[in-house]
Amino acid sequence: MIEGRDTMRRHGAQARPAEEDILLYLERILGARPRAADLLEPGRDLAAALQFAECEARLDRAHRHYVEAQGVHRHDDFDHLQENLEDLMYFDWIEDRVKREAARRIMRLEHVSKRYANHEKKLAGRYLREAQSRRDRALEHYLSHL
Amino acid sequence: MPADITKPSRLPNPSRMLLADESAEAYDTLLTEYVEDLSPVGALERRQVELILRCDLDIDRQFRMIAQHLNPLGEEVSRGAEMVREWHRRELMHPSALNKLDEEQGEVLPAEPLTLPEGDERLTPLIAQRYAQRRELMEIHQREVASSERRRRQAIELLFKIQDRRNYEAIPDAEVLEALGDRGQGHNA
Repeated sequence: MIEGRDTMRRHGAQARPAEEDILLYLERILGARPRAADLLEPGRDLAAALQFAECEARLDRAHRHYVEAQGVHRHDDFDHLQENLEDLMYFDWIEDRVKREAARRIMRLEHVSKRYANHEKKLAGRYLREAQSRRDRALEHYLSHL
Repeated sequence: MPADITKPSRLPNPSRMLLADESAEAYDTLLTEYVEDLSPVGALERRQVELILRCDLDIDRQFRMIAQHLNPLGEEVSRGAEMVREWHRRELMHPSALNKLDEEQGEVLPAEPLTLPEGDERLTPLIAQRYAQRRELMEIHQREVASSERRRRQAIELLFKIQDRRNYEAIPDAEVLEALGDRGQGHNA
């Protein structure tokens, strides 16, 4: 479950931005929204601008993800597991010594939750650095066509 | 040119790039000051200025977090340990005391946030201890500070490059005069 959610989040941060977002950036770069016909077969200048706009949208998404990751110090899935375990401890397992001991040991695995949160932070930082360098390269490319 | 002169950061919404303890108003004020200082012209330059500001905010944010993690008065909260402690406490309690505890449960007020002490050198050993306990986290934050500074440097370089390019475009091209060519030949001879 943890792996699945992690992968989903990672894809969310790195997925291609929505077309509408890219068009907003393109409008900002060009100063006007291009005609749909031009977008179907873009020339070299427009293609460079389009690539730059996509990189801008990706950069903002990566930055948003990066900021969100800074405020996370624990992993949600692990917290959820702990809460479920707490309920079990109070109800079913109270008389079973072996299960109680197992639950106690799981509760002590606090560092796992923190390690996942730290992993998320590192990953978000890496995504941001990659998005930034891609965007800078796209900007240079776009400038060379001006 | 996009009509966003009055609203400097239309894209994207700045509050989506901020944490709960940061304000979008302060962000816009800072951006206005940066725009005044760096005098960007056009959307590209304005965007570069915005990216420089974001790097500065990132650096500030990382330092704030480091300070908070190293706060010697901050408690190391371990939810699992708390749960086990509460469980043991309940096990050892008399049933009547347990009933009373359940009744009072809803009345427990949240602890007040701890404030950072200022300038007390006696806290240095405690800070060092917290640093050692959270070394991995500290490394992450310090790496992010270095990375944000690098991004900031690159953003400034790119801004200057775009501005230089604009300034060069404003200079009219030199005209080659034939008479100069003749004089050059004569001089060589």
